[in-house]
Amino acid sequence: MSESKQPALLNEVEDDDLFAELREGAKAGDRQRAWQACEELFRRYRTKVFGWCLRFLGNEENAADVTQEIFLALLENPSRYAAQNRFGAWLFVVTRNRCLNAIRDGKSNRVTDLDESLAETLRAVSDPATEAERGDIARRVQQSCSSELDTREQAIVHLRYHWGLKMREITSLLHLENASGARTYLRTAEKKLRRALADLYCETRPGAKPPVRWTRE
Amino acid sequence: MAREELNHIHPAELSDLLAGQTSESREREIRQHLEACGICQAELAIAESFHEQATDAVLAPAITARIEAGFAAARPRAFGWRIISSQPNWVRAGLLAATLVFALLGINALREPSLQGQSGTMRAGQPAAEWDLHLSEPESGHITVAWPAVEGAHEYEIRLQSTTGETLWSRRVVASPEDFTLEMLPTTVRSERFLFVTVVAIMADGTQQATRPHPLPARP
Repeated sequence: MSESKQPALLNEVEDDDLFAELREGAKAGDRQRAWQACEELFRRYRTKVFGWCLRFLGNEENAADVTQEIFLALLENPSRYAAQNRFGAWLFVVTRNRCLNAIRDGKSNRVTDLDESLAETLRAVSDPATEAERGDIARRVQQSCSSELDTREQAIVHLRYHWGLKMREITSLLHLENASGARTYLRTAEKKLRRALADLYCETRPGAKPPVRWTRE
Repeated sequence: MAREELNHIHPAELSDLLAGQTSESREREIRQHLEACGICQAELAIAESFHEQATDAVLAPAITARIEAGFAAARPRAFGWRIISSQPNWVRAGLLAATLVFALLGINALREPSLQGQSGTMRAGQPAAEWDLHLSEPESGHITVAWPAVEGAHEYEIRLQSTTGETLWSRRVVASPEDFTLEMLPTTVRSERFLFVTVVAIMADGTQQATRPHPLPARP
């Protein structure tokens, strides 16, 4: 990329002004204008975005591909999150979403599978035939999470099962200072969830009893 | 899932909060929500990690090339090239054939005047960053590479390289500029999605000095 060819003036323009220039260029169909602003933002932020993607995807090739996709999205569709005029917010939201998609698509070495027995519960309760029933159950699982768990446990469950982060990463992100870090909190949260979801299991499988360990724990 | 339905804070708002770009009243509402919502606390920690990420780490060359290759391919093409690429195949083939004929006849008068200005002499050993090549936009598949002469160089090698730095095609010449057409490249080279051009000055004592690689402008 032509880093040394950037006009001196472009180097001095603030991120948000470049972002505005890019959006105006794209809106006016002036691809060259949009490209110049985009190239400068790419030069400034490719390393940061790549480093963050690598941290959350754990794989250099996929992190490089996602980084490339993010800046192509910036060029092709800078108005996607029209409410956000601040480039930093746009970049964070797009990077976050692209990384989450890659994690869900299995393009990372992250494990987002739930603990086996919790996964069993969720499979069981998400079986019902109609969309309305599924929606109702999803709401109740969500409610169980927010009513049974304290905020720290909710945060840890979210980082573990939504983001697939490792225990030490969660401990570091949440600045936990206890000896066992996030592990103890997660174990407690899982016990609470199993207990809360046992009722839901019985409702969705008439006549069936939830696995003994759920109720014994 | 619509985050608003669950009353969670949008990640962009969390980013704005960290950047100090939120109004006082909105910040109070967000902080109040954060006290009661573990999921948003987790998302705030994610946003913090993004904003704390360094911008100046050094990337491995292979990674840089991988990121840049696809991005460079999206560069808008020159107006002339857009017109040519929208023509039917037989028109494009005719234009390429005509270009080849001109090239073979050595009609140098058609070269762009700006490229002829690249004739200053650089001293051997001058930092590579100051010694660079100029690459014309591909018109009719015809590309001109120009560079300032290097003192003591008895010939130059133009190299087309892959994203991993492997030389796929090269040609030795005695002076700048040099023209080539995409058609004259081997099929295996043409089929590469991304190519980089480098000029290497070869001194009488065998030492070499190379320009940095330039991405070859997007091809159809």
